[in-house]
Amino acid sequence: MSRIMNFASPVLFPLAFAIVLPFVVSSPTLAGSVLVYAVAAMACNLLLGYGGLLSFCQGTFFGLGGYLFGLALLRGHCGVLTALVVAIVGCGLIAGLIGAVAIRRKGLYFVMLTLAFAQLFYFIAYSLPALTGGDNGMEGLPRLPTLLPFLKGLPVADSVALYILIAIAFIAAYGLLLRVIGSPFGSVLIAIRENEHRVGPLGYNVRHYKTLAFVLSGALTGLAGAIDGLLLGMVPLSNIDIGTSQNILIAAILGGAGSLSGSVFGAAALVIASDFLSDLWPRWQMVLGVLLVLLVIFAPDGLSGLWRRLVSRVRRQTYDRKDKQWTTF
Amino acid sequence: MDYILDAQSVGVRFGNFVANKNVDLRVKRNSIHALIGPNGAGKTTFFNALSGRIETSSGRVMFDGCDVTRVPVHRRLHSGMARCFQITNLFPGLTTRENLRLAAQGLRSVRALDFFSKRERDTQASEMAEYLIERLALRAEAERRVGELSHGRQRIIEVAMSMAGRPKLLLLDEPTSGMGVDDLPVMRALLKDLSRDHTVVYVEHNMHLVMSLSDRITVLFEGQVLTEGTPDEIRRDERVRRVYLGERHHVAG
Repeated sequence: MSRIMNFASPVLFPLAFAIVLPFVVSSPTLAGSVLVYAVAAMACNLLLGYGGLLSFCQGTFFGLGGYLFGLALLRGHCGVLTALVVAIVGCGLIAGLIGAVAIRRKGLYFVMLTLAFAQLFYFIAYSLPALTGGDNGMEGLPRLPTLLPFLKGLPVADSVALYILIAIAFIAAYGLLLRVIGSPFGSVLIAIRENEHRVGPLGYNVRHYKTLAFVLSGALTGLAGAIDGLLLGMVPLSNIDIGTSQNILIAAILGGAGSLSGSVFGAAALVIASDFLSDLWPRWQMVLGVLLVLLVIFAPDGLSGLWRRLVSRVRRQTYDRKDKQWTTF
Repeated sequence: MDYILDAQSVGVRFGNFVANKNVDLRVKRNSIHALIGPNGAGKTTFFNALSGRIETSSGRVMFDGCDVTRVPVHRRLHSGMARCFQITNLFPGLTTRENLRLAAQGLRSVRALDFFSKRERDTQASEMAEYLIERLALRAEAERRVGELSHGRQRIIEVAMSMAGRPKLLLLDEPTSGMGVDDLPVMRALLKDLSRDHTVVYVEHNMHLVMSLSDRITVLFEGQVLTEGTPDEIRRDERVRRVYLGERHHVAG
């Protein structure tokens, strides 16, 4: 039993989150969207929070993941699982190519290179309507029951089945990232974030570690883009633009760099707030902007940092109360 | 004679500024060799050139019989040359044990690209961390973040990290810099202990330590070698006295 618990405990949090979420938000599509962005934000956090790498290519892999997934389904006539693998592996390979170039430069220059690649891939997608649908997006992705015919016999609605599939991808991504962070590779990545210049003299080739982080992050972001295509039934051009990169970065920073569960809550906050605010006011992004400014100034370690501080304060107060009781006693 | 390190007329220039010129340094295996000189003599620059952190402009560096002049810093480590920094350079947010484990894991860095196993699976690295904690008496600090420790303790961890790769040669840049009187004897004992199974080349300002501990001493002045000899020869050398005049550190001991 304890062995089962050891195996299961790392994924208990994402499992619980995926079960509770649909009861909290208004629609299964919104819940699915939260999980899609959670995967993308976690993948982004591997680079940002653990490797200390700020990349604007996350939207590129999100968009490419959707396109590759769609092309595999529509042109390649693959099954849904094969198409997911195509998206993950394809994005991993492209991330390897981009990473091999961008990681040659450090700091601001790295950021600028990722920005340049993001623009490059956006215009490639825009100017190849035969493949990507261009401005109109890639439309007509098959719905889930067509992809997995055995679902027709099951007594669940299509939207529920779709949500379960997305939840499985989300839980798998969380479990994988947890292992990556706890691995020898993860420990070096954290060391690079802590003090990059010390890592080389210890015998590590820093570039290899950053590139591998870039590949893993790109592959998982591709997965997020693919399940987004599954969720929407299409891949809009906006998925590959710089705005998507921004949203993914905002979700990761909102949740707190260096915290996986933080990324999940950051994505939830971003997606749910966007949904809520966009109903109220067409210029809702201004509100989001102000919120983000306040958060970065007052809680630079994001929601997860706020939560930790809150917990430690509550603990201290209970201790104080106990102390008083003891002294008065 | 068996020299583990043989630097031949090494020169380093930054633009028009000549930091080192024709520096020769030969170090015997399993000896302690000190590099001294007044501030600005080019000791740290020469150290950076030896460890591969900066490129030499001329000359060559032979290490353990191989020419390593153009070998990058992480590969020099794999060939048995470890470097400890003048400015304490650790992972402040990580524990002492994790700092040491990372240093040991770096030895077989290709295996450290493994992103799916648990990090404790690399038992050799964990055992090396444990051995260093034992040998350098770091037990009390093992699970504390190094950023919280005293400067002296951090210096000792710095040396411990450079030992993790079981290097043939240790390059220590001012191991006692900024150390309090409490920690000095610990570092002194550590250096003496190190020379049992390592070759040590170190830059040091504490003349008492240099004179009592070193087998040989090289004096750098204005980027060049002024003289080289045993502690007694250096102590008697008129030129060495002269370059140190006006300096806080006088050749005593």
